[in-house]
Amino acid sequence: MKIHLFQQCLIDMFYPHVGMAGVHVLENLGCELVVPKKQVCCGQMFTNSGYNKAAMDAIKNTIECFENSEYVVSMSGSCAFAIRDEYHHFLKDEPEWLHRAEKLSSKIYEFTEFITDVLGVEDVGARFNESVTYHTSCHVTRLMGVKEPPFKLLRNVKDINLIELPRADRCCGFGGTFSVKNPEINEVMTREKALEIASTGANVISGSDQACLMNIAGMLDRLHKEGVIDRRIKVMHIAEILNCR
Amino acid sequence: MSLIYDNRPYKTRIKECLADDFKVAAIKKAQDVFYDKRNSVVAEVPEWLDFRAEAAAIRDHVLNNLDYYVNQFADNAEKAGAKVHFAFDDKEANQIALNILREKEAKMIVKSKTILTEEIGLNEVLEEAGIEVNETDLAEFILQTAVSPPSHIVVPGLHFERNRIREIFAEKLGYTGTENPEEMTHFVRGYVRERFLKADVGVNGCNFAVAASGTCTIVSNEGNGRMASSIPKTQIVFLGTERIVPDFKALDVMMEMLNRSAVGAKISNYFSMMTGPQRSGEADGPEEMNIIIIDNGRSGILGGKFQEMLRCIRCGACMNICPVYRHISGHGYGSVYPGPMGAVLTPLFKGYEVAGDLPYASTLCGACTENCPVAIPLHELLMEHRHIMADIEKTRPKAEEAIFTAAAKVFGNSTLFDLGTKAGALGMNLISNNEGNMPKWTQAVPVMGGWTKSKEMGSLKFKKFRDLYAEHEKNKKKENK
Amino acid sequence: MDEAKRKQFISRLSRALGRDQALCPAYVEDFDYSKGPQETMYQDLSRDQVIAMFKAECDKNGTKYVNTTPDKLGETILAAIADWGNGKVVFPSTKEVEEYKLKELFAKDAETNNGERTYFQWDASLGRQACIDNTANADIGVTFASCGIAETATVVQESTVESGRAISLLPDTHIAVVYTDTIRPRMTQTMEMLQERYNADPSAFPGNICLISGPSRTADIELVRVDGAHGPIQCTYILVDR
Repeated sequence: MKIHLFQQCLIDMFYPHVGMAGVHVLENLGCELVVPKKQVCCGQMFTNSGYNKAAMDAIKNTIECFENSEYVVSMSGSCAFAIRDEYHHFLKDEPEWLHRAEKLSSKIYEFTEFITDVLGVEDVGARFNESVTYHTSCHVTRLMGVKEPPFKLLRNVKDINLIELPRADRCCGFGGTFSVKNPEINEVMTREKALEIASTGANVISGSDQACLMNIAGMLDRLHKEGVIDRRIKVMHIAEILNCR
Repeated sequence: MSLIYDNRPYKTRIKECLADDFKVAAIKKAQDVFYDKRNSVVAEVPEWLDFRAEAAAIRDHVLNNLDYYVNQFADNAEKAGAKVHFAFDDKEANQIALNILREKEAKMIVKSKTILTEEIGLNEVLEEAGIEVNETDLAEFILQTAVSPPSHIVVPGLHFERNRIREIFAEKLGYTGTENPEEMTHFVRGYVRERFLKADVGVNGCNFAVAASGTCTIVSNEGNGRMASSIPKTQIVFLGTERIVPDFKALDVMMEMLNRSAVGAKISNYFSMMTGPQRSGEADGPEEMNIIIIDNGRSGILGGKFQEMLRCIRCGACMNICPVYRHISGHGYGSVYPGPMGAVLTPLFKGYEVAGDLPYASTLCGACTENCPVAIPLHELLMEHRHIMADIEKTRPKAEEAIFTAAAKVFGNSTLFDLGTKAGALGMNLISNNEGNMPKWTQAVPVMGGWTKSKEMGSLKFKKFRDLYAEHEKNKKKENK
Repeated sequence: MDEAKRKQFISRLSRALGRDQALCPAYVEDFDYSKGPQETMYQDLSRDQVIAMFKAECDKNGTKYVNTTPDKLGETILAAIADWGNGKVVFPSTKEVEEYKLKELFAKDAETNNGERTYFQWDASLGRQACIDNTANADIGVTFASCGIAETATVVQESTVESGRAISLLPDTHIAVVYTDTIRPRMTQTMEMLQERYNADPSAFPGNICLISGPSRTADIELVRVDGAHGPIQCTYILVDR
């Protein structure tokens, strides 16, 4: 099966190893990957701040990169949500682009959703001997409705000790540019999330949205450094866990 | 109080709220209690989402025909013997109320909870005119005694702990009892009861007005709504134009949504339906019922991009789940309408110059939208506000606009992105500390400092994913050869 | 009503809605409730199951209830009064009071109970002040509900000349008598009934109808639940099987 990979700019810039983990997982499942070189960003960070006009370059570039593919898999739920469910709103005054966006909308999947729902695979053959808790990011879980896929996949990872995160449905506080526009509120929200993660006793926190994970990681590291959290809790995108043997 | 009760800058309010440990803890606890209660009563109703769709459809049906239903309501209320008044704005509404009170030579009134009268600033107007105003809802009573604004629309006094309430009661009312909530509640019961029996006029809000019968309804647990509408000789009901339902059958659906969403209860202890004043020969109930229907900006929302906001039934479910409200409480918003619904509504009433910061007080996590019993797409409306400010009215700071416009160019073009991130990686790696993170001094750098003050930040990578993938592809080709 | 103002007010709404010439329509299609979930809920419950639901909900809310039959209603009410510590009782002048000869029963009781229980019958002809004052200093109010709602353990109380709003509101204790055969599963049926009554004769519609579910309550201080805010502190439902 030939799929186009939407890598997410954040993974591209800061977490290239996460992207590679995704590549390995998908290739191991028999997918033939295409990674368009022209791709950059879905534009969500601009539209979330209201700059829909400025976002058009990013939005149209993304459409051009992926519109002719059969399947598009996004390494980040948030971007998949923007492309699938938000583009048509921003393009409602440009009929031709709207049409192209709608075509793309029906082909894009979030990474875990693609594996369970399209490939029909729940056990990717991974082995990971660690205690793991999972942050269900708002965009992918609540707004896209992708609830079960990551858990189906994680439950089939050998040796894993999966621990439920209390109030996993509560936002981690990232919110895109919210985190720098409202740093005071972001700090207390993320701190509460980090302490909840620590309280589970897990040594790894995972998720399928690298933006939330970056936010959580920044706080966990700081709290560890300050001695508030007694251990270094590792932050891993679910692709990294699924890529462990 | 008027709609906006705190005019200080947004950031000043936020910092003050975040520093108030009791308030933050109280709101967190309240949210957690409401979360569990609401989820358990909603879980009892497998048809919840069907009810929600029906409730939203009823609200839309009314809004799309609001002229017709307001007309019908006014006709039927008058037929039932009520006096119906219309007010375009807060000033008119207050003046109408004042005229009624003067005509009755009223010296003292009792009020059950009505957020609409807070929106229009009724109490100040009446007090200035020398009329004694008694809030009777326990929380409103506490706030009035303490002279403090509400922090929530359903339970507005959460920011006071019991010891503080005892102190306030002791200082202002001569209370000599303990801080036990039951003892203090029963003290207020006695104190307010005297006023219920003596008041010239009772003031009520209206949760839903029934167009088909001209009925006003009040939901209350304390019974103060019933008191204010049963004992004084004159009644004044303040009704927001949009709070109308077609008929009694709609009340069934709306009550299903309101009670479970607001406080996680199946029903309120009292649901009063008042159709006109007392009937001939009756010994209690108001001899005169006045209904003031208030527009105050609502017609400006009707028929526009934000019409869905008028579905709102003021249940507070959005603030009970909002992770931002959780930390900044109602006082962070500075508006009698706080939380996500307030962040949408306040700028619609007061404009972006005054309330333009509020739509940014959200991570757009969508929890409000999901929890809303009438399916208002709250987080989408917050985005719409942002879009109007950034792209249409251009009210955002020029520096912000310049940064976003420049960044958007870079993130919309892979060549620029490649150049930009290479330069960025170079810079960040130069300054990074021995753990590979940004050093402490970056906390003073605008934007980045917002992050590094509380969290670690790593460097941009010299080798991006696209570079690693290109190598991977090359290796694969080699293998295949 | 200021008709000119009303016209202005309505036409502002019509204009916002984009009506032709800002004209308010003369007719709007009724909302269709037929597909709503409320229409089919609890339809398969038997009478006994509905009553059981009412009682289970009372238990959950901490509302007292007692079962009785018409022939024992008087003594059941007296027992309920005694159960709440006696005192001054206010009761209405409704047809049920006559039917069960409660006035006579209470008069006889007053003669023999050594002042433990005194009675005041709501009599609108005494005037507003007398009725409210006598009810305000009563300890217990007895009312007859027009029907009940099982899902929420609710009694529906109408105000009439014979039975004022204050009886179920001012005394510390409320004793509500409800016939079990009037208890329906949901608020849906109550609202249907009210709509039909209004449509049949708007002028005979009560000025005040209150759905009462237990005593008055608040949780405004640190979310601690306290019974007895401004209305009754406690209540008993007397469920009559007739």
